[in-house]
Amino acid sequence: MVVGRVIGGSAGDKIIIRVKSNSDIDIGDILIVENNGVKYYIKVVNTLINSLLPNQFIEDIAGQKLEHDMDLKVFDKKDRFYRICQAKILKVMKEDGFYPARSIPHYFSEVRRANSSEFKFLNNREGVSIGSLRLGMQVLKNVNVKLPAKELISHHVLVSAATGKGKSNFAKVFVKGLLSIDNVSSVVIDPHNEYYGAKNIKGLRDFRNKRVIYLTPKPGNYPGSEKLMIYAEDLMPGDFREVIRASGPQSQAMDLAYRVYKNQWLKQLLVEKNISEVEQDMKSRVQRITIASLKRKLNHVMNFNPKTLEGLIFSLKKRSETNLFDKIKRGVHDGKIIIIDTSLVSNLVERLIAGSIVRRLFYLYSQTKQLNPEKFRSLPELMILFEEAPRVLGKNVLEKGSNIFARIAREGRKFKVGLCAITQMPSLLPQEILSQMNTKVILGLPSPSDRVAIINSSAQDINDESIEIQMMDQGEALITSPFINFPLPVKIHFFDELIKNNKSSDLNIGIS
Amino acid sequence: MMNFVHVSDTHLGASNFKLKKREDDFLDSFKQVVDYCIKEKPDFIIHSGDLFDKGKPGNKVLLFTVKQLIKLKEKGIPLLITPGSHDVSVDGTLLTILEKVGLLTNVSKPENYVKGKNHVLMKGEEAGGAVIYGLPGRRANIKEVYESIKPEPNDKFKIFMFHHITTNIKDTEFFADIPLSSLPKGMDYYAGGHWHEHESFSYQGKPVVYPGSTEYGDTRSMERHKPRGFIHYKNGEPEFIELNTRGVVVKRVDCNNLTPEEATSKCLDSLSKEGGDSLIVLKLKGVLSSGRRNMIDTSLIKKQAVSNDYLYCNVRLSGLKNPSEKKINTNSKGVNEIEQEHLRAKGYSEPEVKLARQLINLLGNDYTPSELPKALEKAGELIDN
Ligand SMILES: Nc1ncnc2c1ncn2[C@@H]1O[C@H](COP(=O)(O)OP(=O)(O)OP(=O)(O)O)[C@@H](O)[C@H]1O
Ligand SMILES: [Mg+2]
Ligand SMILES: [Mn+2]
Repeated sequence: MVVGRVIGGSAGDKIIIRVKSNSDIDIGDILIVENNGVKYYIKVVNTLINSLLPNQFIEDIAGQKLEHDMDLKVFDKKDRFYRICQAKILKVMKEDGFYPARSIPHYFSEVRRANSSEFKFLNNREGVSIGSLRLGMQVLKNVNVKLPAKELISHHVLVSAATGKGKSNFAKVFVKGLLSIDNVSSVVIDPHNEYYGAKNIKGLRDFRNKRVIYLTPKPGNYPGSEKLMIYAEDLMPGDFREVIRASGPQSQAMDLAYRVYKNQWLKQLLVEKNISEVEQDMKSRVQRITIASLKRKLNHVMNFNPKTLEGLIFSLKKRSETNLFDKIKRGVHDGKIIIIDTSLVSNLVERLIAGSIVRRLFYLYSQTKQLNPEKFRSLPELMILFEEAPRVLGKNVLEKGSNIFARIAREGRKFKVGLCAITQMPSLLPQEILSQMNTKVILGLPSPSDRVAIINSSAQDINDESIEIQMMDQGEALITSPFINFPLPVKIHFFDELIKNNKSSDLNIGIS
Repeated sequence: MMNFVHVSDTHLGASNFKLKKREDDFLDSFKQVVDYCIKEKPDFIIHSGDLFDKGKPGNKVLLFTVKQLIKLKEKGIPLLITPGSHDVSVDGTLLTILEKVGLLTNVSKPENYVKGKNHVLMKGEEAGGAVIYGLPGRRANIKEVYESIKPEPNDKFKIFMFHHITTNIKDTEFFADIPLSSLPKGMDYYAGGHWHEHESFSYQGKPVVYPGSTEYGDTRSMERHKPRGFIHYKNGEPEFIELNTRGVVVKRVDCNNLTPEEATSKCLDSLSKEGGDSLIVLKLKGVLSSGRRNMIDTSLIKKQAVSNDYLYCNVRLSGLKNPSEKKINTNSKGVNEIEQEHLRAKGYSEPEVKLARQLINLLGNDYTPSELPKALEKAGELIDN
């Protein structure tokens, strides 16, 4: 169906289209122009009205209508009054795929709606289905959008939107999609306990897939749910350094304690020895006051009951089960989705847990790559997912020193380790980190400064979409990525509905 | 009597050090297997996965492979394979295409797994009086997959092909996928893939065999240098047939207390006069007495190696330390202390070390553009004082 004809424009900027009178073209529509043997995919970014009559007449007609309630009949109204729209060229489709536009369709080329087969490319690779194509506010239910998960993961994903717009929902949909892809793994740091599922919250547990492991201080009866318990003997000074803001001397004292007491350092420092004994064991290389304040800081984090030597998360007892970190490494190797429930602990402890897990995983990958490249190739792509990203990647945090998350943002992709960072306020992240996050899932972002931060760091030009981004409703997203052909407007699946439609998860065995 | 050849992990299309000749080596190993089979006429060949190194190998590699497979087909020797982790790309496996044109049989095609109530019936493919079952190199929920499969009963000699590492193998470190006890019971021969060194052991009295890869995929495997080959099963016994692969020499060169120049000439000395077209990897060890390790003239060493008739020399500096690194034990000290010792080791005076500390503290932060001028001004003051 022809909806308009090209009447002008430039290849570098926009093309201008006169719109057929009865067609309902709107901002956000993706249309097709065929010309010079290629297909232009264009997106409407603005519409305006225009007329062939001199302005004076139009003003006059409007005045008559307003002041005298006169309904003047205009001769050939359709010809004299019409709509114009501006559209940007997304990509040009040739026989063998998409290319950036280096030409522009000629005068009077027909503009038509795309049929759903022209969006089939969004569905034709092994990927994660995240939603349906959305043209403005209209959702094309039959156009399934799949994202190439492995590429996305190792090049980092940023999910940003104002509160309540559907960030966590997207993340859940994406992680759920990973369950059907071989050789990927994810560690999800979950401060709101919303990923695994709980009373009144649908979550991954509802898919009853054995790939899901849930580590929580309070394990329930659901399969895959296990106790999150970290033994002091498995922690090292490096796990605390970024978290407790240790002063130079305190930091040195930790290192010394680790050297003197080996893996018993926390137990010795915190319960077995008093300050004088520690001072003696360290051959007076550390001042008493340093030891005292270090003890206080460590105690504050570990927060254990001095009688039982156990807290909610940490234990100073001798470990009799598998080391949590080894369990997680094992799970990652086996392609599991590992959800860590940090909803019951303080910010500080969450960072300690997350940092110590993520650091060990990063070293596993980087060391394996260096020492055992053949085996490295069989390690799964790993995605570290975390909410409220500015807590570890914010400008104000990184000013005080780098951390493992920033390191992964910079070099993780060499090692198949990627971040999926979720934030309400992308403008709090440094530009450098923002541009490392190659794929951006943008949901509604009313704040101008956040929009600017996202738009300026996107893989594709989305300057014209600023208003669309401002207006987007719950679950409406715009996705930019070097791994998709053009910025994709999507209506994200609603996670709870995926469960309804879920056929009991089959084991996928054969390969063809 | 059963008579078949079992090969695995041929990784056609792989190379090392981006050398075309190394890519040819991988192809040549496969050709050796094919030529052996044409000469020895086994009833069939089984391949436990990773025929190709990538899901989409280049056309040259593909053409080579097709030619080899046609040779087998003309001699009437069927090839049965289970796809390995490397045989699959985002849109399926090339093995399906090769199967469609009749050059091989994919034992692990989806039709061969029939979902039942409590388990998945695994169907086999028959060849030369045997029935061959398989599981491809997927890893998601792998333990559950092994638990769910039940081989379709059959009276013939039963072979099970799989592309996973069993935990009983030594040195797998953390890379094993399944305990040995996961393997389906009642088979006559277990044909393993994915582990690149030859291993064999028994399971319920029957042989479990990993032929290993047919070439060396990385320097670590070159250094370990376990023989590369394949299995010829006949007279009720698996026999390992070693392939003739290119010579690989891995040498450790102790450069402790040497200058970069001395280390360079020690490397040159360690090259034999007649390289015999082999590959040499020099792993430098120890702590240099002065200079830095990037002052070692690796391009000279490489040139010399080539003129001594080596195919290529790979010089690995990652095990070699620069002089200042040696005195500082980073495990036991804080950052400040390490930095100070580093500067002292470089021969700076105490006041200089102190100034450096202050500057590091001041300038080691990420400043915003607006804060930066202030910080620089302060740094200027420090230096002036
Ligand atoms: N794709 C969607 N389709 C329909 N409804 C959605 C969709 N995404 C989100 N919603 C609705 O919006 C609500 C909030 O979504 P969600 O919790 O994902 O937001 P959020 O951005 O993570 O919020 P917060 O900033 O509070 O973490 C959901 O409970 C759901 O009702
Ligand atoms: Mg949320
Ligand atoms: Mn292999």
